[in-house]
Amino acid sequence: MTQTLTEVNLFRLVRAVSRRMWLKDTLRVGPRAIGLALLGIFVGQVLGPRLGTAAAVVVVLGVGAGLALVISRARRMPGSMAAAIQLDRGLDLKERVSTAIHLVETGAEGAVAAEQIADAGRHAWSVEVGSAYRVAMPWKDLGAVALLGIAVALLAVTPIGVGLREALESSVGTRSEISGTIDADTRSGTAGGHSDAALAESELDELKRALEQLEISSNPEALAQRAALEALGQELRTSSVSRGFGRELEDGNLAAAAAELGRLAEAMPEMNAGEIEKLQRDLERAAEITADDPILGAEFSRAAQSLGAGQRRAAGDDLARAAESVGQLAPVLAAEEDLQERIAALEREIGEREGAGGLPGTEGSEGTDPGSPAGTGELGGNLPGAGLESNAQGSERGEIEMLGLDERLDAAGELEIVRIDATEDAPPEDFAPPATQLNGDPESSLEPSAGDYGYVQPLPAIGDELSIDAGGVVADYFSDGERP
Amino acid sequence: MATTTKAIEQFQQVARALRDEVGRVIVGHELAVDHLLISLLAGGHSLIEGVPGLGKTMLVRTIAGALDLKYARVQFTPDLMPADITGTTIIRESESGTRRFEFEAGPLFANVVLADEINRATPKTQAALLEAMAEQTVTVAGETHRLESPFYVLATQNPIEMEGTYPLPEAQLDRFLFKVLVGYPTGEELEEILARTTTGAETAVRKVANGEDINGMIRLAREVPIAPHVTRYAVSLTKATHPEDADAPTAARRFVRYGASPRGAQALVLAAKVAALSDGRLNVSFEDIRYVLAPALRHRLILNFEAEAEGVDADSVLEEIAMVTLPEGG
Repeated sequence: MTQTLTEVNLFRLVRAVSRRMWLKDTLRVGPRAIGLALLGIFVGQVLGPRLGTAAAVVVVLGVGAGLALVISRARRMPGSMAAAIQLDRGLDLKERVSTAIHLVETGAEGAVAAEQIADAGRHAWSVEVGSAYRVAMPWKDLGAVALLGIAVALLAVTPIGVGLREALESSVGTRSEISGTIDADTRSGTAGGHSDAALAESELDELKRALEQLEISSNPEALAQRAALEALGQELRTSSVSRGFGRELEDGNLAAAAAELGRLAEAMPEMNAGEIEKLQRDLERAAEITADDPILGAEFSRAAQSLGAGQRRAAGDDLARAAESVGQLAPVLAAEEDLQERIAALEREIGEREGAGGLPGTEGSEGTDPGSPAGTGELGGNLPGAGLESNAQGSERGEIEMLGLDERLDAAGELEIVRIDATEDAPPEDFAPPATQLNGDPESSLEPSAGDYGYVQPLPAIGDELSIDAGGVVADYFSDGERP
Repeated sequence: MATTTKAIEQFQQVARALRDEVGRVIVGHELAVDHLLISLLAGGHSLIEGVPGLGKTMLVRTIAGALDLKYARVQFTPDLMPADITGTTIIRESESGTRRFEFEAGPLFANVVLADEINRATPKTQAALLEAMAEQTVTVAGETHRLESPFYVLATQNPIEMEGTYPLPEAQLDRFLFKVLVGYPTGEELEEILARTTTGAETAVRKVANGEDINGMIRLAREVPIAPHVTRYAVSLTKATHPEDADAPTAARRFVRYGASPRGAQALVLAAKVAALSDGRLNVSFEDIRYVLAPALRHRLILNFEAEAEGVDADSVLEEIAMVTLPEGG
């Protein structure tokens, strides 16, 4: 089928619009794709030395994604119909051109179709594609991409950029990232078995610098706070009222300790006078021990004062706030503990590298290893043991508590820590209950005592029951009144 | 092609002349007049709704007067029987004394039929009209009679007086291509109406088109091409009236019980073709579809109780549908 001049012109017009649409799309997406690629390079440059292969992957992915986007856009040249629709819309041609393109593409015949195409041609004749479908340069995007490109080039080439990159490297990671990276470096260094002395020296210097940074980041106040809380835990562990809180504190479970304290605050309205008095003493002691902590110490102190003044509700509120403060300390102290672990590991690494002699200022690094929870397993040794007696009285509130193997409650409900002497000649006891028996035992001497284990009295046999002669009774009842 | 160009020009001329001629008598109601003419040229029927006294009957009479066609008016009442509108078979005696059955055609055997107050007739009579509207035939005593083309039913109904009326069933409503609403005139229009009707001066309507013209225009309208993306737009609008459709707007989901049928989509496209031709175009645009959306679909939406309770009508639902459903490239 040969196309008429009108049809040729229409298609030429539509193709021009299609090209412009593609150009517009590409100009819109292109700078973003290039920007993405440059960003990948930039990130690679910054993190490259730290991450090695991972950085290379980031760069490749960044560049690849950008290019893929551009290529996918380039492949998607809008079709004639899409371009015609845009042309109709742009020039308010009321779907003339798109209908004409449809008629031409489907080979529609007839006078009406021909007239419609001619009509579309007449309307599109004077159209200037440039004005109808304006393509504006995305100067803002291009400017941003240019700036990013310049930044990447400067970072890669110039000495200032190199310095800046080093500064960025040092500020990019968090404390843990830094120490983690150092760990990775030292591991790789050890595995590689560098023989070059100069290289080893520089690595050692780097390790020392990292150690200094970590030590600067360390928070001695947090350590003091932790020690104070542990001491408080040891103190309160034996309290009849606050022992749950004390136990969790001593074990270093600050979140659980906060929960225990919260429960204590909630239970306060139901406490009796003795418990309140005991709690007040515990809180006063807590305030003394945590006096260095301006927040926690003050909250304990306020709670104790409120209790002393008989203001239970205020005391409960203070205690709830103290519980919140203890809960907030948990992540801080955990982070500090992690930091100390890293410092210890780094000190060990430096010690190993320096040979047999220890580095000045790193003595006792083994002792600072927080790998084992401080305080656990030692308290028992400080308290006198007094045999294996258990007082199952429980607290006055009637709570059922699980006591540890080395713990017992005295008559006042206070906890005592006992030490079991392995050499003590304790009389053996058999706690296995005898089997419950029915109908007695043939050997009466072996029958268990009912008072001790719950002896079961056998029921009489049903077969032994006396029968009732009901027939006679009924017959007597309905007789003529002559009763025997 | 020259013939086609001439036909298109003639279409425009006749359409404009009809509009002008009706406008000489009817004050205002331009949109209603335009929609009624579109319905006529698309070969459909129209239902006109409006409160009493707004000139519905006058409007239909004027349109019929501008057409050189056979016109009949039937006043629908509860005692109107089907035979009264379709015609009946009577015994006729010849001069020689022989008697034979002869079919006496009813008022439906006209080109333009005004079914005034259609909802006052019983369903039986309404059903008789239904066959004529749908199939352009009338069956009496087992004999089917073909109605002349063009056949254009213009029915009027009053929305406020419900006592003693028989609301048109949905099946019959669906047979109308358009439902046209006639509203109150503006102040200026009312002044003009008073000036024309209270002075004794009467405006005669000239006949500007005959049956052949109208049939030719109906045929030409059906030949107008429509691009696939415009058809898809009409389909999207129709589907958006279905409450269960994924793309239905909130109003349709909330207030519509049953949406428009495929006949609604046909009405949209057919009427849009006429609208395009009237505008001097041989292609349908999105604008044409939107122009005929309300009259083509408003009577095909069955609203639920919630809509009734909240005073929501079909037009407001269609308005939201048109706002939410966008054409391709839009």
